Amino acid sequence: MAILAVLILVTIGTAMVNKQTSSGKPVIYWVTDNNPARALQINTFQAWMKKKGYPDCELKLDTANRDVSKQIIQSVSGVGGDVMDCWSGGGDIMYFAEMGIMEDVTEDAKKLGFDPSKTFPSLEDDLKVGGKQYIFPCNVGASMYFVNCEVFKRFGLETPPMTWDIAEFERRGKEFVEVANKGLERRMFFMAENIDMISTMRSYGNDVFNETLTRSRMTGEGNEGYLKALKLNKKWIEEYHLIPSAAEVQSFSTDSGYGGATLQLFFKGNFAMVNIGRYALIQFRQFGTMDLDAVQYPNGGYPNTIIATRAALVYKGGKNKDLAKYFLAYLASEDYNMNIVNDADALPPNPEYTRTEEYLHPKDYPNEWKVHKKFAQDAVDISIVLTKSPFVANKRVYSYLDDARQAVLSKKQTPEESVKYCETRINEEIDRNLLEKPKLRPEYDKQLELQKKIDEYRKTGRKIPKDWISNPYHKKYYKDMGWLETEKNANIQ
Amino acid sequence: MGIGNSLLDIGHSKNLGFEIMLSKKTSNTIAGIAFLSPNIIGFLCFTTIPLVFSMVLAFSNWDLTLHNMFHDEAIKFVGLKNFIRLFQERDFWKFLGNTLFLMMGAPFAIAGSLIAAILLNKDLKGKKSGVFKIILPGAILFISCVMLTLVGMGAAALTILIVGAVGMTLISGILFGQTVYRTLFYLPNFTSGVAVYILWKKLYSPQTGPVNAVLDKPVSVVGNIVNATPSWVLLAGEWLCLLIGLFIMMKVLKSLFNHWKEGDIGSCGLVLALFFVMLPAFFAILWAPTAAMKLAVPAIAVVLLVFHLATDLKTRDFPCTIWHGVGSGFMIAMISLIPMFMFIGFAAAIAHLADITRQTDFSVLPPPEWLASYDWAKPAIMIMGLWMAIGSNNMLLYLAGLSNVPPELEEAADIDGASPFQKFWHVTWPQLAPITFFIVVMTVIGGLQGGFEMARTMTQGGPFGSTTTLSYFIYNEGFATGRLGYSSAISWVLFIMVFSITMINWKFGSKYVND
Repeated sequence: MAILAVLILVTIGTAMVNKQTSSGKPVIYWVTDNNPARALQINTFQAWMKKKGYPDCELKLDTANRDVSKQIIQSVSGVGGDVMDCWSGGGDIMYFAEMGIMEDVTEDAKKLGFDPSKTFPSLEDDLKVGGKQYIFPCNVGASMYFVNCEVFKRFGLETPPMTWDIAEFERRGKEFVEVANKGLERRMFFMAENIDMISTMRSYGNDVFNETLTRSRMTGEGNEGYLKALKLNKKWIEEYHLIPSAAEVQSFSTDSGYGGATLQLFFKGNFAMVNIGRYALIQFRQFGTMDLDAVQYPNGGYPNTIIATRAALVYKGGKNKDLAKYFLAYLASEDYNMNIVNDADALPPNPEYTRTEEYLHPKDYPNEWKVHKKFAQDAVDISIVLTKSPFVANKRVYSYLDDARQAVLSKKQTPEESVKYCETRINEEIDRNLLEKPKLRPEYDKQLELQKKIDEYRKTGRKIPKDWISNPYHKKYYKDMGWLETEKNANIQ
Repeated sequence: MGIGNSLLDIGHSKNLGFEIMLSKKTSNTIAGIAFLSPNIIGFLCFTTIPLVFSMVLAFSNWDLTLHNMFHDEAIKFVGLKNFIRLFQERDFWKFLGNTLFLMMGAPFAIAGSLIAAILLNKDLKGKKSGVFKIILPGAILFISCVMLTLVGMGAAALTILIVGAVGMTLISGILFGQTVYRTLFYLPNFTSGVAVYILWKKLYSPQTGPVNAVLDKPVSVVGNIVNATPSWVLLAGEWLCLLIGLFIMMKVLKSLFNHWKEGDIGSCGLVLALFFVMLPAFFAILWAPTAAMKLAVPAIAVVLLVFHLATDLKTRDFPCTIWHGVGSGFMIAMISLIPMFMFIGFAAAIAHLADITRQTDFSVLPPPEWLASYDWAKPAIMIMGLWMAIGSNNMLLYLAGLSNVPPELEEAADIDGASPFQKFWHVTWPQLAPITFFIVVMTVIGGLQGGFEMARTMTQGGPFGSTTTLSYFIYNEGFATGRLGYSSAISWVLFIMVFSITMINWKFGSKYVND
């Protein structure tokens, strides 16, 4: 009994102590990562709410539940955070939208000023699912190769050009690794830490899916983009050693901070270039001064890069949805955007702030001045989001693509077998999904009809109506190639 | 009246006593239930109900994208659809294969923990002559290593450190007795799994990890030897290994048929044991380096089997029931599988080494790429598992078992002039049978269910799915696609496998234990 009494007393005491720490204001929980910048962002939010005359509330961090599986389980059980971070790259948004856990913020976005017009235009396909807006970016990543200019200087080589083709990359890369590794017992220097397989595939005019996202199309004449990327990856790792193998990466890796040991190795010069977004500057600034530049990925004819975002969504089952929507509005505000600009935490959500002097020429970091404009420019000019099909679990798609890459490097499949395997698996997954979710079928059949028309038009060289295309890659590619008939609308019943 | 009243009183007091007794019993029961209730309620809430729920789910189409608090679509009963799909899925068979492959390390792990327990059961304590004997060399070793590292001889320092650490451990054991070893061996069990996996990931780092730093030189030497050896010698070596494997098979076959003749093993036990004993011959079709070997090994094995069937099945000295000794037959087969697989593996390894040394553009043979390599990732995880198992609870169980072996039995064996091995085989090992049985059951269950943490922490199931186990597959299906019904079906198939194997163990293994 005595023990019970003690336990009750302790419980009451704990409750009383906790009560004292609560401000009594409504609380919004923000499920995000444990980044030191969050403290400032919270303070700025409170000040911004006050400045704008919006209702008083408290923003609290929930950094323990950022894992996607936790987010899913909590959300479908009705106990998700009010605002949750989600990564647009791997298909989380599409997945969350399918589950229906995100609040439709289309109307509020227009009212409060965080609609898609307030961010990079190429991100629109990520912000919306089925024509409805669900998220707004916390920051935006459009990857390029960061170049350590000092390394090239050290070995008496020229810094790479902003835009280059595959042959140019190969020529310069071979020259670099030969000079840099001369006389060494084992290879210590590499031209780049990896190549972006999707961008390389896209640079040959192909994507994982067809124009209507109904099938994966990676084999056959004119669709060899991923096959070429796989072959290049293999050749550059095993034959020319321009990029390190998985074993070489593991040997270097100490897994610390963003991007593992990659950034330290880039700073030390082991990797002359690293494939990463502007957020890498947070760590580069800690390393010390380094003469930096940024260049595009080598391309097979069509320069492009991938744009993605760490975005915030409002949880549909949240208690403070209205307050949470203010948080999304805050992400579009100058106060927040300038935080991102000054922290160098990727690109600010609103491209307007990439034209400020603070963004282009940060006072304390003149060594970065060549970099900032290029990142912002590429995010506008050549960036495309990763393709997500509504007819398949997109996480599966990207894991199959990676499986294909690993299978080739493990010598378990030839590049040809691997691409075929990947395409077959994705299409099987689409078929399975259609069987399990018959609701998708009408839309799928409609899109298939459109696809037939598109294929017919393409064969005869006719221009395609823009509205027929759902794949964000093809939308941009066809537009840039002048293959789009922009005004005409599809009229298929 | 008075008598009547007094009788009534007696009757009343009797009833009262009975009531008191009853209420005492009832109150005892209530108290018992009350004490048990936290556990029972917890078990019901967190084990039984989810278990039943997941069983129902396995026959449903529950998909998180269709059925949750924001979607009102009805969950449908789909019968056996999930199970049929699972058996048609190529990934399932691949991941089941991975799980079973990783379990091949289990006999080694059990043997390792037994050996560790036997070693730790002996007191090696020598003459105590001061702590300084361990501290002083330790300090010198540490300072030497730091100095070597500072002058740029990190690899040498690492080697000295490893050798020194082993030496120091031995000295500590001699100075302070078995407690030091027991503590050291049990240390991995105190560390959280994820921390251990991250540590091993670093150890396995192909070019900078300590494992390859140590292996680098010996592997180079082996590579040079392989390079310098004429190809006909290597071929002879491969044949020799295969023939040794076949020789072991021959001996085991003979022993099994003898057991059958003597009534130690019934016909079912014999068939089961023969099935397992013949397995390596068929694996040789996959692993043997040349086409001739792929053909010859199974052919010789079949000839041996047919010979025994033709000669030994004619007469039987002591008949027994067909189910008799299934456990014994199984144990003999399992034990014999280890050396047979080892020698077939050696043959494959010799051929593989020769291939690598021919193909590589280095002048020396590179050490394995461990987790980064499709072929080495699983063995790397098995080696780590072996390390973890040696110092696990299994070792403690064996230690407890060893201390319960009656000393008079050992003394009797000593008096009879038994050698240490004979003493172990005929006295200690049978006494440890119940513990071994328990360990085998638990290891099989753990092995089938395991692999999730390792895969998630060390390899993410790669390269190319080579380390994805069934448990990781269940997680991926559940969370990457939201197919909870399907995911539950996989869990139940896994459960049925675990349950069946455990039942077989109980049915036949416990007999073996009791025998």
